[in-house]
Amino acid sequence: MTFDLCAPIILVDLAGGVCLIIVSALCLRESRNIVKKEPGNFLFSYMHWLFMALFAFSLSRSLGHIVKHVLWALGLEDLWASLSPVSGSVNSALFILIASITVFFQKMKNVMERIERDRAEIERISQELLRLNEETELLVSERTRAELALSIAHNIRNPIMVIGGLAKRFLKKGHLTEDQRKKIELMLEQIEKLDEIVREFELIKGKKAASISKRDLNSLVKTVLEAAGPEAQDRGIDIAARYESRPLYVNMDPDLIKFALVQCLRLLIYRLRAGSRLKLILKRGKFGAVVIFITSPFEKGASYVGHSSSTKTASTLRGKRLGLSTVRQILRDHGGDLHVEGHGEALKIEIFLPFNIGTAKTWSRDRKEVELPSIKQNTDNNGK
Amino acid sequence: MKSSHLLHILIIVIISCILYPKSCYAFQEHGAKEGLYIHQLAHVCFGSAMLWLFFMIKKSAFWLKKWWKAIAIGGLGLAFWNVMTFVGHLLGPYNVYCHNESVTSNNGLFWLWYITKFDTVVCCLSMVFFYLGLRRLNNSITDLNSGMQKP
Repeated sequence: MTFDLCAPIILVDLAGGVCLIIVSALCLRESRNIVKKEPGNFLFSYMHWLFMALFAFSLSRSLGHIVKHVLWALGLEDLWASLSPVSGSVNSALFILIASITVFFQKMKNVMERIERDRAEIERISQELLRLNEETELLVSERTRAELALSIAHNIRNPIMVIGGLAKRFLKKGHLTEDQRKKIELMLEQIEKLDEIVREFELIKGKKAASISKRDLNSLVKTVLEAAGPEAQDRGIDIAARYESRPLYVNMDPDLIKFALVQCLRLLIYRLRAGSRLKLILKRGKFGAVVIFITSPFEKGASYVGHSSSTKTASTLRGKRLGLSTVRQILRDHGGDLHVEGHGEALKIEIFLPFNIGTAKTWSRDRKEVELPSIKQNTDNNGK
Repeated sequence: MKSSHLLHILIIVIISCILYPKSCYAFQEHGAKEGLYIHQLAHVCFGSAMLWLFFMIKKSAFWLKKWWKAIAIGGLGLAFWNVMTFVGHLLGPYNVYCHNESVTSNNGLFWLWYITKFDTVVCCLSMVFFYLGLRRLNNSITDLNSGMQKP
């Protein structure tokens, strides 16, 4: 049984070749229009390059096939035999070109995605910086208000005391008429009232200003975990905390210390990738309390501890997270200190707070005495 | 492997070549088959690139849009076209029979080769999908720029 099989192949090849050139030309026109409308879009630029290469391929392939059939029909098979390798080579080169364009785009796509991620990170840091600035401004304004209140109270009390003292002296001397005595007694009474008002004013101001007091660090850390817990959950970070079994009383401004601890916790939460673990350990030291934040990559890579330079890593972190310098300042105001080890995700932050402000200045030298307990018992996940 | 180890191996190879010489030529001649191998490899590269384009769109949010789906299908079609032509090139000798316009119909490989000769249809269809996708993408960008469609 025999068939005349060449005819359909030739017909489809010729018609398909012409069709391919037309459709690929239309594709090129559309891609050019798209890239004209969105010249900054990297994906559209890639597609334009791709369709230019596909048009060249369509042209080369279709013309090659059409010429082949024409030459065969004219009986010039030898001529086609000499042209065929050229046509095939051009096609091969165009295939490689298409693949190269795609590989280039693939690499550039990764770079663009990284740039996009960095842009989002910069925006986030900018927002954080703004929030930090607002919080600092609030702290400064509170302090200024307290100082102003103290100054006003002082300026009012001074003349009152002078006037009151003089009035008492007049009353003691006794050379006064009854009318004069009554007037001075009335004056003295009003002065005492004024003094009482100033005292009340001082008390109101004192409620805000006298915020440094002995507070339990255990309970403060629990509130810190409650504040940062939702952010950790959103980012898929597991936080485990170990508290001191007994209350850990430290002389501090709880608002400022809470702010400092939340800053440290946020710093680590945003550094870690989802699924990582973060430990928070509270420890009673020789002269004060020690709060240790330690990430799971740091624990796994023990070599980081030996090789890291605390000054270098701390400055790197400072560069990336501007909040850390504020944390250090707050801690130093309390007579404490901050120490950072590791790099990347493998980080350990140690915070020292003296039991009483102004003691334990040698903590940095004695820091190695603090041992890390393993979190097996008394563990509280996400502060709950 | 350390670079020092590689250096040692290289030195040993050079010494062996010097001590046991054989016939050598200035450059290697290329036979006719190498052209076919390069062409086949080029098909693999082209097909892989098109497959990558398909999966890149499939895995991203672009897949939700019809025009991107059409472009992805175009890419998949061209990947399939590469497979067809790759197989067609492997079965190249049947070309002779067709040219002679005489063949026996009970040869399975012949019919496989015969189907691959209609690869132009697949290529054209893929291009049509590309065109439809690009046209709708172009229209959607026009609509977006003129505020007719929400981004």
